[in-house]
Amino acid sequence: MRVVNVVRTLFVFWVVFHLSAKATFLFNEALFQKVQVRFGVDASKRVRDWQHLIAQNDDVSTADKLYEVNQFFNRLYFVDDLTHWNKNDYWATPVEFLATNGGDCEDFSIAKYFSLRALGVPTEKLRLMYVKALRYNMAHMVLAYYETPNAIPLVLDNLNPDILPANQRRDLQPVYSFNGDGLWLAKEQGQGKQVQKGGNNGLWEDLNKRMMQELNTNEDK
Amino acid sequence: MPLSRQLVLSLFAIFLALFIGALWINVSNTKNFIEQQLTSHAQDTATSLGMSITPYIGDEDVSLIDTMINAIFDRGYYSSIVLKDNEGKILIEKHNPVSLEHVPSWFIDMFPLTPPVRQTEINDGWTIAGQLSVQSNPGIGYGQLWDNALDSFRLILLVFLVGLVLVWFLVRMVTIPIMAVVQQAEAISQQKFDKLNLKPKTLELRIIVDAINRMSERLSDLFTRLSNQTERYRDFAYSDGLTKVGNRRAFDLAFEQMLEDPEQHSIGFLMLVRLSSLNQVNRNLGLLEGDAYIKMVCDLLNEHLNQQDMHFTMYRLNGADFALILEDIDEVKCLALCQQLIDKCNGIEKFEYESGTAHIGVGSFTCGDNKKVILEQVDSALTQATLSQLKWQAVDQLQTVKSHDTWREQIKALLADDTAHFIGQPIKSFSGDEIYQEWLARFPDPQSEQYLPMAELIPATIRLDFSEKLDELLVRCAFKKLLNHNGNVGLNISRLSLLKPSFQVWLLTQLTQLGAQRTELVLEIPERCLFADTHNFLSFIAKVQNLKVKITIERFGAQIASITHLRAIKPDYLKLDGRFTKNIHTEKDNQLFVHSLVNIAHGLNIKVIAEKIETEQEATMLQAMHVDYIQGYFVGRPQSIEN
Repeated sequence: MRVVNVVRTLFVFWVVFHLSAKATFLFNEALFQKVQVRFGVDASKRVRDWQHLIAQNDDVSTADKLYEVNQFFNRLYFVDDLTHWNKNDYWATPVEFLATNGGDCEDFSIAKYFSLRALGVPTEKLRLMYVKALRYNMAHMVLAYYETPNAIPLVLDNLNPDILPANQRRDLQPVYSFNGDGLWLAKEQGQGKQVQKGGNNGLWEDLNKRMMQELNTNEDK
Repeated sequence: MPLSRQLVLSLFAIFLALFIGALWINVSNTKNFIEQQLTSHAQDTATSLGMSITPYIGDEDVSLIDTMINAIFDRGYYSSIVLKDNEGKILIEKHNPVSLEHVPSWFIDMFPLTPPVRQTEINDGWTIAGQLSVQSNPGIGYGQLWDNALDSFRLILLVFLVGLVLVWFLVRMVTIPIMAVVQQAEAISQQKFDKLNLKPKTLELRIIVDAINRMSERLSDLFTRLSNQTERYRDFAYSDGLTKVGNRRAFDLAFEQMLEDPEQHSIGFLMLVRLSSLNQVNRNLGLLEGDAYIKMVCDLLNEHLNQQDMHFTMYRLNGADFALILEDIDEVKCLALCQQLIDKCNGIEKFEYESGTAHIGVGSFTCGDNKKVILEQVDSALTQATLSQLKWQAVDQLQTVKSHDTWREQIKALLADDTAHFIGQPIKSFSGDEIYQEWLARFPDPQSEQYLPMAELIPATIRLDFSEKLDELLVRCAFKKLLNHNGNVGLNISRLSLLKPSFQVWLLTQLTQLGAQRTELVLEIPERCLFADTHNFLSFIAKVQNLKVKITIERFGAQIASITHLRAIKPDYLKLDGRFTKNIHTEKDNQLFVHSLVNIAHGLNIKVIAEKIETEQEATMLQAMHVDYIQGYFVGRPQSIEN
């Protein structure tokens, strides 16, 4: 039963990717059921809400997209990986993030990044920025949006829920920035997970595969 | 294509495919791995170098950044490092040629390595200030790849060669028993029923070897049974139950043969030995005693005669009478022999032999004599013997033909003249094809127009010890005439010469000198040759056969053990003694014997010739018995070959 389900779900993913120009997540009842079974009704609701968020904000202005996404995820708890996952430096998928109702700065940034990508924001305008949070004296990550390549970016952060231009965020010292797709895939490889090679859909396939993997392998626990 | 080659080629092809496949996969995978390494190497360098540059990217002076890039670049593992500003203008660029020192170009063409360019962004605070691109130098990658390829090649080649050696052993292990089995099968078809001593380890081959050994055994048994059966037929027809010597029938046939056949050169003595007291012993002491008496005398005669240097055959004519045919002996010796035999018989005389142990009558015969006359003469001599003190008596008027001296002169003249004439008689198949012509020698009598009578000449040469010289003359003349003759020719050489080592050597030389004509020659050898000095004689015959001369064993059928000798000699033809085929259409026992003999001969791939065929009925019966060829007046009369 399990194997058949996985195969069916993956097949559907595969079909959708090749039909839509803008790849995205596909949620179906099966997914929600799994989440509910594993994480509870609230978790399932949160995931459904995320689905709605993406569906409803498809054609609003970019500023609105940024706002909605930032606000949606900032509701979740900020917890470090060791406490939350019992692992150091675990990069959760958005579904895991939502289902468990919390994550660290990378999880926030990643989730927002994927959501904005799903809403059609081009990857060249987004950066995952490694920063130092001066007030807390700790390493931190934020999502930066560049309207033009030379512009001062807007910062989407979970420490400060407002979206502000970077020059107004004197509490953050920027260190280094990365392209989101490349970083995710490199991280996956670093963690020893198999990564799809090549192609623009590599990222989405990988993400979806991971999401299904997580949901299915942990089912019997 | 032989199995061994098929096996070797198939296995070689498989190994080769595996070898190439393994090598290709190995190298391809290594190439992919190296490419990934080069990629991540470039990426890591880009990231870390980018981070180092970041504090200085805002400066007008790029010299510090330049130095930092140099520090990394000069390590030499990079193909290019390029720094651009956010408008794409190149600020700094460094390039290295791709160095491929010891890697051959064909290898590079076959396994292209293209390390991608990895990039990172340099940010000045929050703004993106530039882009750094790094590309690894594939040179070192190629070096690694090439070394790896060489190592793999060597290792796989070693395995490959070891594999080939194992294959070779495997093939040998399979083919050696198979070849042995093939050889044994051929030996079996030559009636050689040896067993294979092989014990191959492979189960299937062992099964084959066992099966063929069993078959060989069974065929051997079959052949032996067939021979035994043939001999039984003969014994049944021709041997005396008690003493196992020839019976009356055998004697009649043998003696008639000798008297009627001018070519057999028969001359000898007929000795009748009568057990004078047999009736009394049977009556007074019983049949068992009588049988013992008979056997004792028979053994005594056998033993004594075997010690003499001559040929004899013993027959039991009836209850008390034995007949002995003696050949190769002169009068003096023969008469001395009679005395010796009587002395021996007297020596074993028992009290109950009231009339004496035995009496002997002896008379001479020559071919051409009348059988009835000879028998009567010897019989009356025997009767006289029973009345005489000596207990033996010779027929009066023993040989009175030409004296020794006359014959000696005659023979010497012949030899000096060095000529011999031949008459030929054809031997043909039932469809009329002639297989060869038997040549019979004739020597002209200087005193008359006729030929000298062979029946007298030959015995004289034997007595005067000229037989070897005469045979040499015969052979030389025949070989000369052979050169002008078309068709195959059969020659007779006397038994005495054939058994002499000096003659054997001489004949082999003559045959070798004859050249290619040898293949037209058939040597007719009397069956009796097989019973003296067998081993040497067999090797002589083998040498003759090696020269591609054919062999006919003639006068075949009389001796008991000769069938096994056939296997050793393998003659081309077997000529049945005429006594077995005379009136064969009416002789039921002869038919049985001849038929089984033909079967045996055919089993050994020997063709059978029947001689002295004079009537159509004889021919028809013989054809029904699968005799292959016939000779005789019915087929063709002897004619001079001189043109």
